[in-house]
Amino acid sequence: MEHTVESDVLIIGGGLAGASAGVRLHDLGVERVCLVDKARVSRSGCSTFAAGVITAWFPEDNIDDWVRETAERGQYMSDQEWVETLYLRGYEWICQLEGWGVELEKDAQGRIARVCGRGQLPHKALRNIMFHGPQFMEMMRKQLIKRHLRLVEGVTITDLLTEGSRVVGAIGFNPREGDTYTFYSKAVIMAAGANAYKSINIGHKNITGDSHGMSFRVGAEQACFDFCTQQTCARNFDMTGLNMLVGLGGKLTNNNGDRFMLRYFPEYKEQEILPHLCGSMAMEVHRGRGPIFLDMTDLSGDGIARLRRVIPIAMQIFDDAGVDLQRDRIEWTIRPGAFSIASGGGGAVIDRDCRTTVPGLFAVGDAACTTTYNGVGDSGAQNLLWCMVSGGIAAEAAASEAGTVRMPAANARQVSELREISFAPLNRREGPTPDDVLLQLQMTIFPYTVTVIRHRDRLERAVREVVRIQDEEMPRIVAADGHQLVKANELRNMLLCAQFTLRSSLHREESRGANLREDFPETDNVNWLRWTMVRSKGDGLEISSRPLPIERFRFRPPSERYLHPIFARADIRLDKATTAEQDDRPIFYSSDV
Amino acid sequence: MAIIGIVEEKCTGCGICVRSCPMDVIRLDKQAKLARIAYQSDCMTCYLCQKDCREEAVIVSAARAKHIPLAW
Repeated sequence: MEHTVESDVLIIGGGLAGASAGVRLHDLGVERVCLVDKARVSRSGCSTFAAGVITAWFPEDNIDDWVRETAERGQYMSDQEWVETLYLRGYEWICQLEGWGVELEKDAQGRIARVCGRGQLPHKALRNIMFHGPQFMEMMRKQLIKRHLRLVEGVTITDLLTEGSRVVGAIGFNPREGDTYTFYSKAVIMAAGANAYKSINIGHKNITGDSHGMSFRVGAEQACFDFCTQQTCARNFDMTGLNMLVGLGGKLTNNNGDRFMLRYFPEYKEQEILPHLCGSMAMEVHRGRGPIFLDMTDLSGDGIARLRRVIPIAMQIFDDAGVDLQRDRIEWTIRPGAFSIASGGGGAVIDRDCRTTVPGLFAVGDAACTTTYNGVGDSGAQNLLWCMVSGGIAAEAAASEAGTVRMPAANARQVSELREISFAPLNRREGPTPDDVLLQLQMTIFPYTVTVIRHRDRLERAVREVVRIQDEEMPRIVAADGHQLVKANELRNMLLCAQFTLRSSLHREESRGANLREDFPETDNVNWLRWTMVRSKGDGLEISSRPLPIERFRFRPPSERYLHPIFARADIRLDKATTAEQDDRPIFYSSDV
Repeated sequence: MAIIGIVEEKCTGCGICVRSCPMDVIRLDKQAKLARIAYQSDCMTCYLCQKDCREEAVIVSAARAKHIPLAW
């Protein structure tokens, strides 16, 4: 069955960013709002599995201190004007959440408790609040239903529709029922999340670069894919919640029992930003000192109780895997293919209203370039805050725009042409399955010598293989049913994202954030205070870089070049006296929680 | 592994687990009025189906559903 849906604003993706946009659009009086998700709102995307923490500025904090610290931790790659907006407007959302009944951790006086998490230190400014597991997104679903938003769930969007240079809708299908969908709208908000290449880690296997692939195909400029960072995970089972685990005192050790983060980043240790954490782990393996373990054997009973409240799913996995956190060291690794995830990295270029470079198309959450607020990595947990703030801002601009443009005309020919491409795998009888092709992609980009410790030769080899997969395997890919067809279309987007990251990494001839280049081991603030841009050009893509508008920003790094700490400190030996002097107090503490 | 099974004796065919699964792993057998595992290898061990099932009919294990290449 064919369905045609018209709306004033179409939201693609029902995670926190899309849901926030939906709520705001309704509250602004926009009547016809449609939100489409490939699964079910509150059970889809990253937000459902978020690790229980949000970095939240409160009015008693000094905003300058917060912007300065965020800029420094992100190695000055963020847009500092956006960072300030994030915190100031984020506070409105935190108050809103509490008013809606989201369960937040409270202190002894009944106020929202604020604690230090990963990327934060007691004597510095940034602080997190904590919420209780998946009930956050369940509450967002309730808010959408209360406002009678039209939810179209279980529908995979494959492509955007255009009228001239303007985005005017999207097409998709329901793999269970076989129904096809065409959406026409005056404005479209892309909120379909990031990309994790179906790597290890729970909850991230249905975020497959759909935002980036679809927006790129209609010409939206992308940026900063060289900073798409990795995450970490247990080696033998999928896991989330590192922010809480290291915040409560978890230590990373190598095969010699050395707590190696003391050597690489003695100030923050395991609380370092993710690209530095993952880079340090990979360097230990590179130097023959792997495997890596997470040691939480010092965890208190109170700490266990807090983990069960804040990250219940992760704790259930530990239980089912037979892991006793107070007894066992856990073999730990990086989530290898996370070339593109919320903690820092690529996405669509946006203006201050979350408009992309294509008229009619807005990008929010991980669909937008997350370097905008995080720089090269998250100094805490700004991701959820960004989802709400960007969702709200895009909603305001889209509401305004929807009031000024006419409803687009139907375009059956364009729908038919795009559907022919997205449905082609159903019509083939012989060829590789989506799982076959995905495995080829994963084997190309997952080795740490490609995804973490990079070198021109290895990056170029990976680019050639990804292009080969795209040119030779994808035209033959077979989908036996609707379920397989979803996966075939996800691959179109993942292959594009892989090229964005590999080629952006090649372009950036320095080491910064996730871009650790053995052949360019220095961080270069003289020549590389630049964002890396990706544009479509003909049938391919073009990489360039653009200087940061650093003259507009209040906080600037010294104009210097220096050897990146991970290369500089890989082989320094720490004596036991130095190690013993380090403060081992858990960071994720608060005296009155 | 991952999702191991759905206990037929407990399943009422309500479809909640089908709607909960972000990965389209579970489908409803309309004739038998039972949920069934249709695409086990795509399970991402998120436990949402088990969490949402009121009848405690869904069994999930922590093991990964299939081999995924690692970084080292």
